[in-house]
Amino acid sequence: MSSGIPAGRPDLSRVALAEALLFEEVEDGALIFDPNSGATTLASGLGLAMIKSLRSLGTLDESALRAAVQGMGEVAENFTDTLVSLEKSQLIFRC
Amino acid sequence: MLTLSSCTSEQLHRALRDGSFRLYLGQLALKVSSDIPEFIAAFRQLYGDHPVALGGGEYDFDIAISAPALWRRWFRRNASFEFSGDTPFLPMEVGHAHALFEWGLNWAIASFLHHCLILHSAVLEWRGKGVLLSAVSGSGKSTLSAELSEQGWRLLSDELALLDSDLKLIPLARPVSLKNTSIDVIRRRHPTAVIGPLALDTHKGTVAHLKVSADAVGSNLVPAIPKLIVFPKWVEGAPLRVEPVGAGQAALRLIDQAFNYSTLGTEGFRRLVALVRMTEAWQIEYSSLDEARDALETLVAEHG
Repeated sequence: MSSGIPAGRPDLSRVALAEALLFEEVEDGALIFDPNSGATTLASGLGLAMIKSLRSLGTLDESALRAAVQGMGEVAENFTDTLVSLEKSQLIFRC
Repeated sequence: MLTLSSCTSEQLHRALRDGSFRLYLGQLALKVSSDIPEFIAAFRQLYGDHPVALGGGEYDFDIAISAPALWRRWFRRNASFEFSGDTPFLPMEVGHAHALFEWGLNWAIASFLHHCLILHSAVLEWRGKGVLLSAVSGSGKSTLSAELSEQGWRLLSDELALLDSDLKLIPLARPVSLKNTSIDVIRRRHPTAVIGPLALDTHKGTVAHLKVSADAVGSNLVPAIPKLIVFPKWVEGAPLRVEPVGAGQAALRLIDQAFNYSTLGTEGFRRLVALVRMTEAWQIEYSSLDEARDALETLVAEHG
């Protein structure tokens, strides 16, 4: 359990991509369609790198995801904000 | 095939009364009924070049423009839009009957033609290349469509882009809806254009309809291949500005203007992605219709 998490609560530091997403790359990012909600999102930059990493590597620890996107040349400066934004869009979830 | 203008007034009135009138709008066959003289006169003027039949036959939509229930007639003369016997809208005064027909027909197409992805967009073709003009209401889309149509572009629709499973744009050439000052703009620029009666004080202001060319009606069974998506915006006094739009951004903007994207689910997404991949997208801001037309013709020539 990581140090900041109160006793009894699960450690939700692992991140996974939502299931059944359709993913289509276009010139200015990737269009992602969630058949469950019907929502369409345009991901680009850091968010796109995160999604690509999760697509290719599966469920990852946050730290591994951060390393993966840095490996793709993305500056992970807004890592947490972007993660939260993708989570709100229900494209990723913590597990 | 028989056209509406070649019918005698007696034939037309009889067929519209007894349910045997059919209007062919590209792939769509409409059963149209009416007993309202004001509507019949406008209908005859605006749909004169459309193919029709007077002896019944198969149809996709059953539309009637008729006088509503008796008690409403006590207040003033009204017209109702009926679709397969249902009345989805409140009646309007008879002077608005032709506008009610066009609005009701838009509603019917957007509500029932789900074999197509339906976008709120004008569709025109220039030199064999399909162009979608997608914009929110009030952006000048219909005025620009009317102008292009009067300048020789082929109009497929001023309001609804229908993208079928082969990624072709299905034509539905019918009168262009003009509102408020755009009526006089088109009248001034094209004095020989046929513009139907004014519907005053509607919920959209004053509305009138421009009859589309016989050539556009004659090509109503020939789909167009989409090549350009343009997001036009008329801004008073603005200099012309033409900027590219990324495919992803274009897709999001089209989703905002789609009628049945959610209904089609995964198929809608696949079709939309295919559309933005096979086209280029641009936005133009303009105040001059001449400049806008020149810019669009240049875009078609260089990027379509």
